[in-house]
Amino acid sequence: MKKPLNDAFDDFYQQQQLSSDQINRLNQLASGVTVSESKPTSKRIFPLIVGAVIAVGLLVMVTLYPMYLKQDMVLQIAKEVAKNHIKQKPLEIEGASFATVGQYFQELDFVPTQSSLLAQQSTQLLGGRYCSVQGLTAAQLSYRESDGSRFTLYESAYDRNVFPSFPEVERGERPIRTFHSGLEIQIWVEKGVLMVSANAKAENDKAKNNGVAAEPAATPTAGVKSIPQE
Amino acid sequence: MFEPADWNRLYQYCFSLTKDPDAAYDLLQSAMERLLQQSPGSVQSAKAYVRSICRNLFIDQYRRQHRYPTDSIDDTDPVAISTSSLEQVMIDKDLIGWVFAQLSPEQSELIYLWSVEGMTAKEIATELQIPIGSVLSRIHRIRKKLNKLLDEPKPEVEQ
Repeated sequence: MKKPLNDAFDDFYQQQQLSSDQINRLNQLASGVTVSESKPTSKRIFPLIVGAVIAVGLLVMVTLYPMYLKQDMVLQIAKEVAKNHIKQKPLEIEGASFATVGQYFQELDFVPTQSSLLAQQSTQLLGGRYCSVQGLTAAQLSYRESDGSRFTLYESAYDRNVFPSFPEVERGERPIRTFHSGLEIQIWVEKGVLMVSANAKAENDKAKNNGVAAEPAATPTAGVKSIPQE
Repeated sequence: MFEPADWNRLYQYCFSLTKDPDAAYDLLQSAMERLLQQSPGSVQSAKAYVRSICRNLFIDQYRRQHRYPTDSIDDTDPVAISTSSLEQVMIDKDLIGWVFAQLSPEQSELIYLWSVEGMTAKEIATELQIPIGSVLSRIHRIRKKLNKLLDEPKPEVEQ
């Protein structure tokens, strides 16, 4: 019976088969061989290296850039509120009642609120005035402490397009604490409001008040500074 | 590394070169031993890589015993167009073993790559790392040899 040449040879070659014993021996022999079917090493590794470098670069940027932005923003805010605190511009509204003083701020995009971190003793609300934090209109609230020093709290709308992620005390996070121009500056977010405090009674009082030391506790009583409840 | 079917294909390739079952197995085993001595690495096709080792080993061994027969190349042969010239050949299946024995290793290797691996002339040229013209010339010479073999008186073939 005649067949096409390729079919005839294919049949012929298919009759040539290894025994199972021979296959086993070849498998044993091949167990030490690490040849894998892939592109040549050089062609495979180069794109991997490039990809890895790009990935690491992106990771560094994604990780460090927000940190850099945040640090930069903390510095800018600290500088701004410290300067503002030192100038002690005249108050636009005077009063010891938070409810009264708070009523004055009708032009804000948020309602000034009392911070749970400041809910304590021996400071007296003096009044407030409009100011700005990083270009956003803010309420500046002035307090007098028992020793006669002044304590300033700035409240601004927490615009995530303007500000980086700051600690939110409702989530148990602790305020950022830094120093500028001899003042202790603390920054946090509470009830959706950005709060920044500035006061001159820095190091000593913190320890005494169980306050927000270098990495302060995040309990509501471990606040920035104690401000009396109205 | 390989499935049994892959081993058999490699063995059949070795058989196309050696024309002897035992020599084919020895050749395949030697190729794997040679592979073990090499540093680990990646290759584009493990089977093609093993085939190239088999071919090189076979040529080395063959040269020691005989001179490896290489057909002279006539790239200008007008008949050498493609493997289609072989596809037209019809052969009695009982004669295939005898015809196989008459082919040179170089010719039976080409026949294996074409009929078992299903390669085109261009793919065979790539596999053997020779010009496409050389493959076409070999195909033409195989065709001529087959014509001659099939025209001459046939041996007694056991049914």
